[in-house]
Amino acid sequence: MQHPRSLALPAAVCLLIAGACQDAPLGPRAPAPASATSSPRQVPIVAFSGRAADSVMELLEPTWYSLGPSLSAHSRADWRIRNNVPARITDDALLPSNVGAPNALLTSGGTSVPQILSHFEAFYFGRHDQTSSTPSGVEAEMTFIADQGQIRVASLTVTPDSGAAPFMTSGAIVSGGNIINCADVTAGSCNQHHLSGVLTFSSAPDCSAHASGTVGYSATISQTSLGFSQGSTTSSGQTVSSSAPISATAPACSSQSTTTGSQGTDSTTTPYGSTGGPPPAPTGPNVPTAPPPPEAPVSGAGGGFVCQRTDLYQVIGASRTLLSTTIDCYPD
Amino acid sequence: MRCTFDPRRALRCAILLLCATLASARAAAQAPFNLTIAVAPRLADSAARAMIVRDAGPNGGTLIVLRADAADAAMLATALTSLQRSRRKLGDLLQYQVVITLLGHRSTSSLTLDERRRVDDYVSRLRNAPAVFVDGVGLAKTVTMPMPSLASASGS
Repeated sequence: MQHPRSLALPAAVCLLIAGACQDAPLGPRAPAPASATSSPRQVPIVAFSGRAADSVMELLEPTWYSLGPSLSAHSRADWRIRNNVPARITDDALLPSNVGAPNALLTSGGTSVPQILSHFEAFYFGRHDQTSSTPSGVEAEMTFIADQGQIRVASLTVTPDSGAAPFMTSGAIVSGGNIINCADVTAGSCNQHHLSGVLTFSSAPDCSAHASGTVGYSATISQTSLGFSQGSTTSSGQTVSSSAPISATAPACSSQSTTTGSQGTDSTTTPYGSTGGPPPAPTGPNVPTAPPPPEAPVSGAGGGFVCQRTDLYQVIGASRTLLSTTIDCYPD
Repeated sequence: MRCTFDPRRALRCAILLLCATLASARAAAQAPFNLTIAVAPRLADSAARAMIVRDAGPNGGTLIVLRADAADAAMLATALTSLQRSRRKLGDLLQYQVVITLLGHRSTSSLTLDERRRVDDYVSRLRNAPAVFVDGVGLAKTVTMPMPSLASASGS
């Protein structure tokens, strides 16, 4: 029969080895998942733009469309198809481009005229209940010919059917613009821009309520430039504006709906994510330091989503080559 | 250790061998990389609140750099969550260097109590850590630790 003491040493060694392989007590543990029973949280009004806006839309659109049966799930996609806007703002668009700003050939017969070619806008009601929280939002995008575009919520009022105080807000969603339909810059056809953004907010009532408002668009030629083919000079400071109404009706409140509070006026929005303007320069701890961008495009507000930029580099010796850049957001 | 045909010694050897195999398998299941968390006065990207640098190759380390004025529990929790997402998506053995720039952070209210306690502890240790030179960052307070196992990670 095996004597117990004869196994003591192997057992001790075994415990020692196995114990040494336990997770280091000093090591960081991964963040635990958020509580499944998290209550709705009030998040500030946050504007997402460009690729970040697309990422947020991908997360929110299914819920928004399920809550608004009158909404066409393909309307935004159809608009993009009709206007030659990529269905998904590609990450390539974030890479440095050889196309200098402003674009070539903003002139027509020696006169520069900014144009808003097309726009799309929609209001979506979110939902707050005991198990989930989806913010409401305004999504807007446009195609234009100019140096710079801006989309803003000129006014938005969400009125509860109960007669309680309405929620009102206004403010810029996004400014800038990415070149689209540019097959060949030397052919002089790269004068169309696309700009998109989404504004999310959780503090508006989202059941038994009605929303109405106006989205404003503007396109500005703000810089003097030379046309490639005619050598003509564009004048500066020309702006064209347009606006479009938005409206929606929220479904009736159910017993599980959580009436969101803090109705009132809020005219401040926090920009978040990439701007629609110049692409970000490659950055990283080992990248030669570039001049700081003129203005930080983001703020620290959570807004219910965390956005991040991921750069992939090939490192050979001391040199690094930027291979790709992606921007994506995920729920807080 | 020599094993003879003595049944008792053979049994002990077998147990030792089994334990060693189990232990090495467990170690292999864990990421063999180190994680360094640093706090720097400024980052290369002035808009960034934190950056994560994951080096390529079998010896690649991982560095989380928090901007000093944003180095709090929420920011560190955000960085750890992003790191876990990246590891799940790309794996631990990278072909290319990955640099993640965090432009925002999770709201404090989204942190569980356990998360909050843990990251508070890390932030506290970082504040008291000695400043060392970190390549690409400069002089920074750092804490280095083994990378947590991805299997045991449960980032949101």
